[in-house]
Amino acid sequence: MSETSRARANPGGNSAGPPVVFRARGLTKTYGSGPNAVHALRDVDLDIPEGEFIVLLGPSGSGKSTLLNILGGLDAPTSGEARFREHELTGASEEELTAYRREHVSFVFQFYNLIPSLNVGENVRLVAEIAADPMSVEEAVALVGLTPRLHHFPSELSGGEQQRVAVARAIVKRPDVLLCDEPTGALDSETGRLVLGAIEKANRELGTTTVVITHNSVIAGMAHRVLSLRDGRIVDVSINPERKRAGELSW
Amino acid sequence: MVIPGGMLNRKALRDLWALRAQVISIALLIASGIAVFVMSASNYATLLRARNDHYAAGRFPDVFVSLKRAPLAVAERLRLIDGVGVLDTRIAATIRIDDPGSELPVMGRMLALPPQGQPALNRLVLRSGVWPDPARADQVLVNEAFAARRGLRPGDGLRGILNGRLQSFVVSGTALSPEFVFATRPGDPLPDDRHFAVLWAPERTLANAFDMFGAFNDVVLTLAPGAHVPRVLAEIDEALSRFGGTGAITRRDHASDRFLADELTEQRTLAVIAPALFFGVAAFLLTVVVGRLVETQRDQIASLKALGYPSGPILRHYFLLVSAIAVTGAGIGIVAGHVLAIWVVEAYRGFFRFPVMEHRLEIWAVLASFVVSLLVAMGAAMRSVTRIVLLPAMAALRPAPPQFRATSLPAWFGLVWSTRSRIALRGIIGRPLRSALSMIGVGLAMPLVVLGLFWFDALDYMVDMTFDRIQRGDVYVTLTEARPASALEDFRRLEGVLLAEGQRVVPVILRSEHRTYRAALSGLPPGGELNVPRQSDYTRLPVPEEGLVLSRRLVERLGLRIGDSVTVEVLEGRRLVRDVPLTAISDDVLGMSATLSIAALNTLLREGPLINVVALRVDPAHRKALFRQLAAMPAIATTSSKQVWLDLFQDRVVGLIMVSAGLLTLFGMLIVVGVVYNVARVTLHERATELASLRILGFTREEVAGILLTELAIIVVAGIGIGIALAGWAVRLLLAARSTESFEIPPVIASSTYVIAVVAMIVASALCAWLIRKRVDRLDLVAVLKARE
Repeated sequence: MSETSRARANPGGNSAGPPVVFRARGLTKTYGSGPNAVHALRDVDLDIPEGEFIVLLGPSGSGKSTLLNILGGLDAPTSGEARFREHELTGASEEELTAYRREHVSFVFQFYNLIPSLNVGENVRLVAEIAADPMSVEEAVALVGLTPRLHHFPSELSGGEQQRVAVARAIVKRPDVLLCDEPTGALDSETGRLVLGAIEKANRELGTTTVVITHNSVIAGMAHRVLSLRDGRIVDVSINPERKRAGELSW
Repeated sequence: MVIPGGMLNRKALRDLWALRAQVISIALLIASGIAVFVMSASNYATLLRARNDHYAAGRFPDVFVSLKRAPLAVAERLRLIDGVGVLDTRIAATIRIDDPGSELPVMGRMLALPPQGQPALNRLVLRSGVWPDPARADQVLVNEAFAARRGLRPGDGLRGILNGRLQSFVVSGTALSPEFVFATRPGDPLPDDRHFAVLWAPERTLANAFDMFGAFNDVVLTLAPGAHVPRVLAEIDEALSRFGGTGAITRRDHASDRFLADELTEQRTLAVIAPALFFGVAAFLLTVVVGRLVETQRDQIASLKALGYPSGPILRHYFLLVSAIAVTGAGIGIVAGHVLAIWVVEAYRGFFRFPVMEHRLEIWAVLASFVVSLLVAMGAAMRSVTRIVLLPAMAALRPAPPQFRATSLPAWFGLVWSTRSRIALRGIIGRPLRSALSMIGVGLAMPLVVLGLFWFDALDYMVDMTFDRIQRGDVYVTLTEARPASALEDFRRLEGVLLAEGQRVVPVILRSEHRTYRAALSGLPPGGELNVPRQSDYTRLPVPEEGLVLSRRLVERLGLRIGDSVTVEVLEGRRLVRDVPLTAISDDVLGMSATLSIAALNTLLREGPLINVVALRVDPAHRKALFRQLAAMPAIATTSSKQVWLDLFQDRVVGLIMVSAGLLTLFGMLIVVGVVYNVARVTLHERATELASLRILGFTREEVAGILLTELAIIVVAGIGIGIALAGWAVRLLLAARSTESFEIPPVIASSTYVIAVVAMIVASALCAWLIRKRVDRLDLVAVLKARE
């Protein structure tokens, strides 16, 4: 593939914009070796400015999850470098990565991963307990519109409600970065819109830098920028001149 | 049509490999139970076979009588008694072995051999040397136990005092006899091979020394089939009463046989009760662990069903899986049990004097091991698998999450516990049945450790009770005949004697309706310091002015209650018969005692204030000097020392019990590790997603492991609580099964034993926690993002 056809996901030296929080250069991730090697990421460069809402699009195996995992400090690249503000993520120890996740990052998973033995308020408080400057549990729960469900346990909630609890749990610590891996993948469209609305709120109202993985291209309408991945490369970068509100999406 | 199963078998093998740590720990759990069972069952069978062979080949009699002297013609009359099988008469005598090197006098039982050598009953097994030459008066056979203790070989010399005359003998050989598997001096609670010998000499030797030509003083006989035992005994007693008969006894009151029977009871208890207890625990744990193992494969079972697999092959697959574990465990257990059994039988050789004691692996025990472990494993798998297999495929695909409700916890809870502790505690409360089973599993492991360790406490208590509280004298001297109480003064003057008390001890038969017991009835001085009947809590039982104090076991054997009248038949002197009321019950642990005040006993004997036993408290510094003085005193029949009894107790009782106790402790520890490790592994498996999620959310390894380990800690602590409650019960159960007449082991468990058992539990748990902690560190965080819970 030629150099010209390879999209570089850099805002291109616009120094007047918000500061860059993520900076990745030549990120490569290879599983295995020799003829059986699987190249999950190939030489990816990426800058993400503070407060940006990014959607990663691509079919399974395109490398979007690997990229998200490296940004979230869950995985290490085979080569290249990744940096969050002053934190060097490549080569960091397990303890440093844990501290990085704890202080800066929040995750929303496809399957919610709530603690079944804790109710809504407690699931949120769990994270607030280890955060430096959390918002109140009630505030976070109110942000996702689940105040009436504060004392319910996950098994008493619908899938969409559980995912909104996951979002509340993610935003309660006022994270710098919110990473969402297929947050609507297990939900119907109506419920999915509610969850995306909660994520959008965090991005707009708290200024949280947000990266959402999806294979649903409709969701891309919400983003500032949409990165398309294929075979471990960013093959397309598009900037939405006008972002859609979560409620306007339909699929 | 392709039969489903080929791939499932491969899955079974791979599952076994993937789960190897758990598989091994479960297999070892089974192996522990099987090993104890195979070992004890084989050993019991070995002892039983050795005894029965020895008794059959040696023609061990059924009835024994001693008398003063009867002409040989009386034997013919005895043989005519209905129910008598083979009857043999002989001359028997108590002699003293001359051994200046021994602190205590060495006594011997000398028995006459008929001219043809081998007696009709109690046939000997020659172990070395040759039979004594009937033409020579100086040759004797010596029992092997004494010869081994004293290093006597054929050709060695031996001097005995027969009827007051010193005679020299030559050991012609060593022998075993079925009547002296344990050679016990009459009246002694334990066999003492150092100070008691059995000698067999040609009849002429004894007849000469004791003036018994044409006469006998000992009768042994077998019973004819269908004999009415009490009537035979009564007729023999009747026939011999004129000749000083001391009452016919059966095997039950024969010292060697009783000791042997008690040992067999002991072994049977260990062979049946302990393994049953042990294997019951292992089976229970197996049910829990296998159930959980199957539960963790719930989604796989559902997938197989969704793919159209019928339930049959799926069930068969899991049966195969658990059978492989069960068979492996049983196999290891059988091999280990066999090896241990061989080792224990070797240890037995010093205790049990049998001509042949060959260990054999009991085939029925092997078969039973396989069958029981397979049944238990399959039963355990069945319960879990069918529950899942019978679910509709899609329902099974979903895990069964605990259903937490808003009302799960009390309101105060939030004030006390952090959110993370709530996860741990709700993890337990949310699965109440499973948590309870885990706690019970841990709780059951602990009594096994206590069952091994408590013997030390019980034996300590026995020694303390018997030798420090009840028989407080250091030395007991038996006089050749009863003497006036003033004879005590001779002993008080001896160097090293701090305190001397006189006692009167006579052989009696105690009778209550049809029940009888031969006992040594002790007359004690009221308020005496050296022999003090006690109750189990150490309280002194004052010796009553009138009335008997009997051991609790003796009271039970005779079926008595306080206030009941006991018939006392004195077996010496004028052979008086008197009824005496039972006024108190004492708690002896060793032997069975019958006590009366010395005044009451002498009154009963219609005699003045006489004594025939002197109990002494001795200054240890002058011990040796005292024994020298005693050896020089006339009219002393025997001298016995508490220290010798302590040593014998250590040898005979403690040594034998410790072999079993040590093994129980070892296996108990193994079970502790097995239970805690499996509980921890399964909990980790169930909570892996949750814990990895927490790691992703920024919790450190320590914090995440902390949640899991808190949950485990709660289970272990609760389990220990259950274990403490169960331990006492398990000990009492075991002891209730083993109670014998020779001695009773009290259910005494020292707090230090509980502490050791608890520490063992904590160490085992900590080891498991460490292993689990390692696994928490290796949790795959990335996989969680994609995986369903």
